[in-house]
Amino acid sequence: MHKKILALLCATTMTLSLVACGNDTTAPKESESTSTASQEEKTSVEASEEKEEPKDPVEITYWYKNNVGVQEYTDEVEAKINEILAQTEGYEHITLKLHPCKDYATDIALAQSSGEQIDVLSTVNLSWTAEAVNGSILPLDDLIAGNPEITEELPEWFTTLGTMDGVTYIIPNYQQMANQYFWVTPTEWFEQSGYTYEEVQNALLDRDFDKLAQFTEDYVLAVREYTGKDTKWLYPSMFSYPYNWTDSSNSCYDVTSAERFYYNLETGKIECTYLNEDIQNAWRKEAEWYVEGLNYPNQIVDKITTNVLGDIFNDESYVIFRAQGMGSVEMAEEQFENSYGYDCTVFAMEDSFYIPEKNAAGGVAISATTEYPEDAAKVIALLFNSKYEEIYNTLAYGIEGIHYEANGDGTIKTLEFSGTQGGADTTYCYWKWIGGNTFNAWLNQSMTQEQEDFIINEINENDNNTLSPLMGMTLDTSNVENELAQIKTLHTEYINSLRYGIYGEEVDKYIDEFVDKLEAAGLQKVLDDFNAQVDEFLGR
Amino acid sequence: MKKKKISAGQIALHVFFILLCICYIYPLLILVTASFEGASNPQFSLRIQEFTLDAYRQVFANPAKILKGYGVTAFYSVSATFGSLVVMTLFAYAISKRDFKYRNVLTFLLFFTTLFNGGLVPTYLVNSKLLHLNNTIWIYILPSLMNAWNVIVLRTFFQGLPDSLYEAARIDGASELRICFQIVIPLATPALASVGFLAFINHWNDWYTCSIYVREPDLYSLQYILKVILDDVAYLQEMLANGTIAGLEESLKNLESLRFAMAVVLAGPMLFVFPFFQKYFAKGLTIGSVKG
Repeated sequence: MHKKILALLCATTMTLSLVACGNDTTAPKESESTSTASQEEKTSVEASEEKEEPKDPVEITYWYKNNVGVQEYTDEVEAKINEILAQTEGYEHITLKLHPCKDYATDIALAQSSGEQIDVLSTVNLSWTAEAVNGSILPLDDLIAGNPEITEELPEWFTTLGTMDGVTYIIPNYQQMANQYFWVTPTEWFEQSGYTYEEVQNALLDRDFDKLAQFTEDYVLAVREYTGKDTKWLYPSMFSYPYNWTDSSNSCYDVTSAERFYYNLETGKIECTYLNEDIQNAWRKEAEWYVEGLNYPNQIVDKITTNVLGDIFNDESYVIFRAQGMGSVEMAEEQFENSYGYDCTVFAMEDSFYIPEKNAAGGVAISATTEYPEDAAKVIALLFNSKYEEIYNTLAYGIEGIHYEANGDGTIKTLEFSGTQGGADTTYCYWKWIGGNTFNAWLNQSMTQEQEDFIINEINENDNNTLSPLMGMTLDTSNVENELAQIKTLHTEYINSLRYGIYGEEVDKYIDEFVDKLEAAGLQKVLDDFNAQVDEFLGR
Repeated sequence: MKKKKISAGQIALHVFFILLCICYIYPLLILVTASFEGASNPQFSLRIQEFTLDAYRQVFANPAKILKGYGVTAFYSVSATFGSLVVMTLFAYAISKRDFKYRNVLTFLLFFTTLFNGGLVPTYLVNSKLLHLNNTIWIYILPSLMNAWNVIVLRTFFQGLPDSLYEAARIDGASELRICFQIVIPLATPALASVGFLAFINHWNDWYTCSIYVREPDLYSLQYILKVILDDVAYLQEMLANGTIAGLEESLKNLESLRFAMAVVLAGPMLFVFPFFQKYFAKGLTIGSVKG
């Protein structure tokens, strides 16, 4: 009897379920028969009803690197951000949980292994392409289409830096997109050199190696004579670091941080830096200077100082140095003079810029394990859209009165740090240059409007600059891992001695030996593999 | 009064040991003087070229944080040392008894852990997901209560005690617990002191546990705090050296002094603790060196 009642109940439940499903399917048919106007009206009413309906609260975790981890004020900053979020339209239901990490790659690996909640994550220190291939991060195209706020303020070319095979996986962090290097030396010394400013500046922009080599050689001797000190040296490798020289005008494809490959704009091929004739000539010149006693001889084991420009008037020092600066020559000059306290003569290494195909600042991605992809996308929008400037700046700078003071003109003064972006000695830090759109950050004492305008107009969005043709391409190294490992080992064995001129008169012998070993290690196979990928990417 | 004759051999021996002492003490003194060195290109020696307290200022930029770190580190180092001595002693005592039924099984399990371990991820999963120790002070204490090597040292010491001692105690009516706590442990003071000292040093120097499991600033260990400061400065210095950034503060200029100052801050308490353990430590290290 009981079984019969139970069977009856099951049958009734099943019937009711089918009826309910049947109603759902008939509903659209009914609406199809009504007029278009009434349909639109209904849709808009439904939409507004949906809009008014409060969403369930969600917590979105944001994992990022700040080299310090959780600090004294991390919780307060998080609370402040959530306070603002609660009053921001469309974000009322979202609570942001900050996860600053010190040892970022390890922390993420452990969090992923242990199933900790990761929603939004920075890709700095991670291989985002590997994460994409592993399925650890979500494709973002649909989410971006559903939330245009994420990319609407970014240049179109820029977002391709986060794509692989045409699919967007990360939103690259937007900052200065090409490095600016300057040769810097004390004006007091340069005046004794016998060279005019224009001579050196033009030779540098023309990449006139012979003229520059002659200048540096004469210069160290002139400084020695002027100061009466034989302990004034050339900084070894002024010419022979790829980004000091060759690759400042070409794209540098640094596959695993040691084997340098670059895309040659003229040949349209990926080439190996070590086979580049300019680089090899630079090695020969460094060796010549080493023999002549112009290069600091102990560079390989003992640099004179790490603060090259700050300690330039010490008894023992280098005489000229390549340093990264910002803005025009005048701006950079002011910046160096303020930093080091003496009159500087500054030469620009570039007058136009090459935007490489890789973004050193990484990007922001959404974890494949997130339960709330749309809300995670909304959190990414906070980092990239000026509409949410207050939230982004709270994240970047902390709390007013504790970490910064407003100047009243839209700029601020940071209280715990100046120039850098906080660290272990501050009570809160977020490295904005690896987390979002830096240009939405309020200007402070280390960044003027003039400098920011220069970066945006002259570097990032200048039509005269060259964008890497490989923008959006990701090299697959899986076929040549063994060869790359061998090349990296050879790099470690030879490169510093070559850069610093240590091989002296035997430099040619060692260059030949290095090149032979590179070829034996399979360099050509690597180049063939890479160039096949380039050809395919460029549709050749 | 008859003067005691000192042989040439004794003099040579004294000279040798004095020189040996200097070899150990000299680097320690360099460590201290270098931490006060302000020259940008210092030649580290006992003479300070340019005296400065900058490195210590940098370390103690946030004194409350450092003091809290000292507190956390001292607490877990003492607790974990005490706890591990209790656990290890009991375990070692049990497996030192030849008539203990599970002796071989337990000894094998103990020895096995000296050869193989689970690796970082499984260990992390057990500690954080199963035991929920992450972000608690217990993460510093519980997982390190047992150290196989130290247990083997203690077991060897216990086995070295004469059987007649146990027999005499049993004849006098002592239970196993009484034998362990009132007879064996007092005799094992040198072994316990040296094992305890090594355990204390291990805990005191541990920064890794904090870096993996702890996200609560109030639970940061001193070593972790100092390591973060050092890494941070080194990172900025590297960028400065590469010309990637310019205009860093003067305080960044001397990484070496900062390193030495941190070593002094970290090693300081140990230097005071060591003399109290020294006599036991010397005895403890000779355990098992004489047979028969």
